Amino acid sequence: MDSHLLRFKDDKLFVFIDFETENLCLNFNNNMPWQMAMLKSKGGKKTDEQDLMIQWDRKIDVSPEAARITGFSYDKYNKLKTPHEEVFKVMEEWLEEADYIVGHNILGFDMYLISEFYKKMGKSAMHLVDKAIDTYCLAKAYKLGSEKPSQASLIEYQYTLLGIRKKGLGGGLGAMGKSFEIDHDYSKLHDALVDLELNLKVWNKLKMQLEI
Amino acid sequence: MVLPLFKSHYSLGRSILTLEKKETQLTNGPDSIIDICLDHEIKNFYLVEDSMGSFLQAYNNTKDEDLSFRFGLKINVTKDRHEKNEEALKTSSKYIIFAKNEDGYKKLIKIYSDAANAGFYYVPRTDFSVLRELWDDSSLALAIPFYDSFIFKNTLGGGECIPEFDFTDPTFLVEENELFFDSIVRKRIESFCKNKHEIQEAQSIYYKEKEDFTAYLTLRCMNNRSTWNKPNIDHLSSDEFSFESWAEKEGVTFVKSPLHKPKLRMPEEDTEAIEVKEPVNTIVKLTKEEINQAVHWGNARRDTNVNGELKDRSHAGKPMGGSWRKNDIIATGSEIAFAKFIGEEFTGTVNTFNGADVGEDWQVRCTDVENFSLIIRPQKDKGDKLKEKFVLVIYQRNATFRIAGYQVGENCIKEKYLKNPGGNRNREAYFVPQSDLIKF
Repeated sequence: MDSHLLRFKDDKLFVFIDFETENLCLNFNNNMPWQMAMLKSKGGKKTDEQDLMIQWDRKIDVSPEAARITGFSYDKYNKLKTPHEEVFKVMEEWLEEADYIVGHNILGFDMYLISEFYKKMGKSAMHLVDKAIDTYCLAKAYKLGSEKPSQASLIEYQYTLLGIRKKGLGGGLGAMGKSFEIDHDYSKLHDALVDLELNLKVWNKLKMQLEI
Repeated sequence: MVLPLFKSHYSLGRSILTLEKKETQLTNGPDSIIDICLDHEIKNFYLVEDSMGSFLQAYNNTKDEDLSFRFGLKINVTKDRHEKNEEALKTSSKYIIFAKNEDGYKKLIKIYSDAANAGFYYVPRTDFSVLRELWDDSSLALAIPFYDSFIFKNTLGGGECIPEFDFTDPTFLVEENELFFDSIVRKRIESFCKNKHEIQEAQSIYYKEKEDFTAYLTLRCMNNRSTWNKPNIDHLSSDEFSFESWAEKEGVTFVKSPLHKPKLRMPEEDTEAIEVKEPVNTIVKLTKEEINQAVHWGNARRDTNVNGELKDRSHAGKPMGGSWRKNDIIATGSEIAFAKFIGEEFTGTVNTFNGADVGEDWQVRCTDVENFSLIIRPQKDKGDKLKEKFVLVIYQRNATFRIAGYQVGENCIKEKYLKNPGGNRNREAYFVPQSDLIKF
């Protein structure tokens, strides 16, 4: 009877994605991601992962504050960087293949960077929007005890939640992990892949709590 | 047909376009909607603003051109404009009311005045009872904007907006700006309008070229008291709200901003009104970056002279700053200061004594003596060079310059100006006093 709920869709491919960026601007004019991590999941379990440093046609300029938060190091970046064309190939393949694209605040941030990346490569990412699952929005729904209205699609419902701003809600990834008592190394948050591993664990809890 | 919906800087913080007269744009200055339309042979355009302020300038600056516009007021319509609480915000959404004629314009003023007075709650708001009372299809037309409409807010913003269309039949505008929710909103609009209301493709235009997005972002950040690195403005990612995007969609050949020759805005002849002329600030102080630029190019010029490439030995007076190297740095600084004054870009040249110093036809002359004259030297300033404008810039120390005035070279070749203060052979020159210069 409840087979339409996401928690029962064990055959579906969920791709989790997270970017680490120079700053918080939503346009490539002023902000390039320097790291992209992706994680594939089926039935709530990790099946594959990617962690790539991205090389652009200009130098990366990470502010000292962003470098401190994300642990960015030019040495590590220069050693591991991959040309953005190659990173795009991987990203496009994974996202097109995915049934759902998951991220924490993906609708407010990462989706714009995905769109900018597609645009840079002469393509459009607009068709991906219906696949998006934003665990930050859904965390708000969980915290507020909100239910998805029957007439709204999942993406519409998530956009409605995105606009809700309430202090002390505790919808951040770390806060959600702790509130669900998830075992994780919280000191390493803001490393893209580490974030995604926690994101998967949070999603596995959230999907059981919400009727979506 | 995609309707071009221009917005000007009168909608505070929402557009970087102006409504200045045609061809008065300064290099690197803001683009005028009027220039854009004339350059692209657009005869009619739509001006959708958040207030009534721009109407007068738009009217004055289009009336002598082969150009007309339809003015639209984008305004919040709420359930009851007298209700002023957080709940009332949920029932408020945007509508565009277009004036079809003079009567419509007068009605728009009434609607806006009431909204800004009786209905004001964070922003001007009106309600359907006001619209119903003033409405007349012969003078007004109603359109539903794509963003922030009742459909947009109800679908994506948790709104509780109930539209009332018993007094008119609105047109719904749809846009495509590469934002993820565009397709979601479009679907909802199509479903709502099916067999009931007209749908019209449109394009909101806040800047001319896609690359102007950075300038637009800067303005939005300034208004939001945030920074480029952390704009904190939802969904501000697309550079599609440009005229260039409209041109692409319409298949119109896009003309980039022409490099207009800088025009000094001289007071217009107006016999009807007595105009109080604002004094022009002629003092220019260089920034640290500009000082570095002056040092770089001044040194380059001096080195060129020392190497004898140009053999410029025609100066008779003492060097500014006490040495010829400092003299060249200050002289370069004066060119940078003047370029900044007229909104031109200083390009930096070393070996062009006969070419223009700034722009296409400006020769810059600098002195560090406050009341000194503009000097035209017959040995060097001759031929076509005399058709150019010679501007006198006074160096006042501390990287500060005063733009004293200018004169066309030909007008300086007068016997009354001819002097030879040092009494040296072949050192006669034309000394034009500051009182005979054209002031800015």
